[in-house]
Amino acid sequence: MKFKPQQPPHIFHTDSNCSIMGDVLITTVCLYFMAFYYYGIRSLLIGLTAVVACCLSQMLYMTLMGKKDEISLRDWSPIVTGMIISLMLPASIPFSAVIIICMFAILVAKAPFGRTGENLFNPAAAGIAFGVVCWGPQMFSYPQPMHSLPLIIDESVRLVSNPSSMLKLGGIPPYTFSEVIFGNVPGPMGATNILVITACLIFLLCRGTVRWHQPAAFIAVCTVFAFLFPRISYSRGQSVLFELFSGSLMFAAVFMLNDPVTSPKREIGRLMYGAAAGFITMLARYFGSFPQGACFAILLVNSMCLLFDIFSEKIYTMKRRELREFKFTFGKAIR
Amino acid sequence: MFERHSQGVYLVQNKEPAFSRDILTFVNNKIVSESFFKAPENVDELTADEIIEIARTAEIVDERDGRALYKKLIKAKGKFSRIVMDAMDDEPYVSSQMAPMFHLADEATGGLKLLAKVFNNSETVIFVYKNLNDLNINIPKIINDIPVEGVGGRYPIEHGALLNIRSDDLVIGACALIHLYRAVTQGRKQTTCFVTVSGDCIANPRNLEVSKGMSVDSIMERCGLIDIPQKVIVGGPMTGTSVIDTETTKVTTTTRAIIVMKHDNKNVPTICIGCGRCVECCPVNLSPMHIYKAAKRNFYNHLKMMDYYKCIGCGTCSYVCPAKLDLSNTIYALTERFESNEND
Amino acid sequence: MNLNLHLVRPYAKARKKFKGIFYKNPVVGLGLALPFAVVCSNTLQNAAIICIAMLLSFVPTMMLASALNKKIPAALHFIAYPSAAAILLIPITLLVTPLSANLGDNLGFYLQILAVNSLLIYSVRPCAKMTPQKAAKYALMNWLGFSLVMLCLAFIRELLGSGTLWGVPVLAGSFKLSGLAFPFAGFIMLGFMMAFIRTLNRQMYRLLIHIEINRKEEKRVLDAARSLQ
Repeated sequence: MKFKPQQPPHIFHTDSNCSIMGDVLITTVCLYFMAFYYYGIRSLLIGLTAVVACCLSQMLYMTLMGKKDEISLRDWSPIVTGMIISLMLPASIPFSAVIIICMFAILVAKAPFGRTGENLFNPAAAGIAFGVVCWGPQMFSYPQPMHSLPLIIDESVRLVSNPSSMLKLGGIPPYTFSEVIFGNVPGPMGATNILVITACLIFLLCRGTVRWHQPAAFIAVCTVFAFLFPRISYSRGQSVLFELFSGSLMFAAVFMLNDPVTSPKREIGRLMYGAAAGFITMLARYFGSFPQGACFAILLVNSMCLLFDIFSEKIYTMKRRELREFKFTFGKAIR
Repeated sequence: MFERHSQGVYLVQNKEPAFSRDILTFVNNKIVSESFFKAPENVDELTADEIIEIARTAEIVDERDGRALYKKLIKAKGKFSRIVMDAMDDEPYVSSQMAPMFHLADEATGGLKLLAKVFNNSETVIFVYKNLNDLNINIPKIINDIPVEGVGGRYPIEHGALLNIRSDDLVIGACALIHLYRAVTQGRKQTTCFVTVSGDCIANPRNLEVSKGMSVDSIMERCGLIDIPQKVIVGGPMTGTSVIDTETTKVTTTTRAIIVMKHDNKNVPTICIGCGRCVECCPVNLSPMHIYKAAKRNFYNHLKMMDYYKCIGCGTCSYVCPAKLDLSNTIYALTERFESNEND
Repeated sequence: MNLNLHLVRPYAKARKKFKGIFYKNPVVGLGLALPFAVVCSNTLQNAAIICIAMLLSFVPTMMLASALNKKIPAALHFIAYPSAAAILLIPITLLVTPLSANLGDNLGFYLQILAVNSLLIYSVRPCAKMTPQKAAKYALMNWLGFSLVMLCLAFIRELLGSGTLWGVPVLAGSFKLSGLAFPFAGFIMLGFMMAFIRTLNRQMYRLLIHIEINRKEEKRVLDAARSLQ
């Protein structure tokens, strides 16, 4: 009998790129259920618009770069980007803004760097940052949950600010613990349901899509910062609670920080990455001009990801070659 | 912080039903009958040099690394205090060291005790892979007065188990000890080897003792095929080579297994998304992702820093990669590519 | 292989004739004077002021550089010519600031920094070896290229950024992306513009070579047909 030659190994693990991205898609769809419950059908339409805009932009730039035969249905990364962007937006945002944010995210933050696995910045974080800069006040005023929203937002809809804006102005948000956990506060469409987000995190950890080092370091540093420097001066516990559970901090910790392309690969690098992101987020919240700083912090830390990688590779090179002293010079970092 | 709890990978070991069945003999009787030499008369009063001479006449080859047994004994003479019988089989489907050790226990332990007595009464121990959950028979803790030590861990444990071995140990495969016992007591040369025939396309998976030089085709027919196979592997599924023509491929002493599969793997390589699983599971602490990218673009300076020559070729990185990239072969082939450059 | 590039060569020569605008554009081709192209091209008014100020300070300084060729030692070049440009900028600033209330604030100190911009310092060395007429021509062509790029960028940024052109609201409805007024958008737009211009040039070469090869094929086929008759 004659056969074709094949390369070892001849057995494979069952994970694939599709299954990893499929896990993230399942969790975002669960968040969409809660968004639909609170804000009606407009939230689903925003999600659909974002996904379609991202996919079309991806096909456009692949055609322009001459890689038309590399467009395949198995590459689900623009779908994931679209779902994550739309969950960070308020439910009362106009549709044109959604389309422009998605086009910016794919055509400016992802296309110039190469194809899907070669981007330097998280496209969702870049899109949200652009949206914040362009439509500042509109991005931070949210409709009340459990009220129906018309398709075109006009003057009849009442928009309020979310707890993190209240904290920035020095006030105390008037919501109870159960309201904050279940998401009955005004906020971004998918980022207020803390219980569902925690469940998504546990699901992703158990499936192996996400490693625990990054979210744990991020949340730990934020908690310590909020505990030591509380913005609600009479109670540290309440301050920690509101800092962690208001705004997009938990959402960023689960979905935007764990993008596999833009995170370091070794454990030490991941811990440092999460801690740096948490520190910069809290600084942006306290001293920045916007009430939420998670997306800007993630962009900053993405640019430092290569440094963390080089540092941890140096440590492992030292361990492999059994050297004793640690020579680390910034000038010739790759030696 | 440096202890890597996730080096290597747990594999599903499909060792049943090949392990529990007896070992079948499928030899060329003419060759066997011509392979006898004069056996020594008094087995109990042999010296070390005589045993080495018998091993040389009988042409015994250790199946772990393909070296002749007498050369190993000459090199290690007087330097070891413990002899280890290697019955670890960490690749799935393969049990060609465990099964002879278990079913032909008398011959294996006899050979081990002979060596121990001759070389200053050294200690003896048997190493067996511990993480096997689907065996029908329990391997006992003591076989013929020799302790059996379970070596735990993830694939590839051969590399990790070498850390369990002290610097003054001598490691010999189980089949070589069986052949040594037969050479000493009956005066037989080594003309056979132990092979596992398994896979999902074989009707009767079991361990066989076959003559050296028999073709793969006849062994497959002896065990029976369920369906038309798409792939035949010689060796383990993680590091074995695939067969192009079954009639011209012959069995040697280091062929541990023949695996016949019903389905081809139709995996198309896609793009690397930087998930980092290959980096976590490499047993030598390399970074396969960076080495692969540098190799594709011919960045020699980066490769020098990343120690590509330490790769042991276990195939774990290709196994866990979700994008189905061909990591392990690209990295292992770099050594040949750059050695020739350096020698110029 | 004998590639008779009788279409491509005239194109390349024509491009080189406009050296400074299309061939070696200071902003898009050489990356000089970047802060102005990035920050000051918010609105058409800002861009126009910077262009005029550049004209009135750059061209005379280059003529001065070629006139004073050997008189100033090389080590003092970088002090002498920027000071000359700075002296020329004083009347310009005095002219501009009363024109509009917020122009001086918008431009900040970028008007004064024109004295030490990299285009000036780069051009000193070639201009010192030319005669004054050629230096004037060189400076004018470079200035033309710079201002073309500035005005294009400012047009797009103002139109999409605040829906106005020279302060006059043009776009119906309230479509504005106020993020385009920030410098980060200027960097991104400049990058895209550079990529676009390189692509245009490359496609032009491809098109010409394609036409030329097709013409050669056509000629060969016609010759073969004629020889068969």
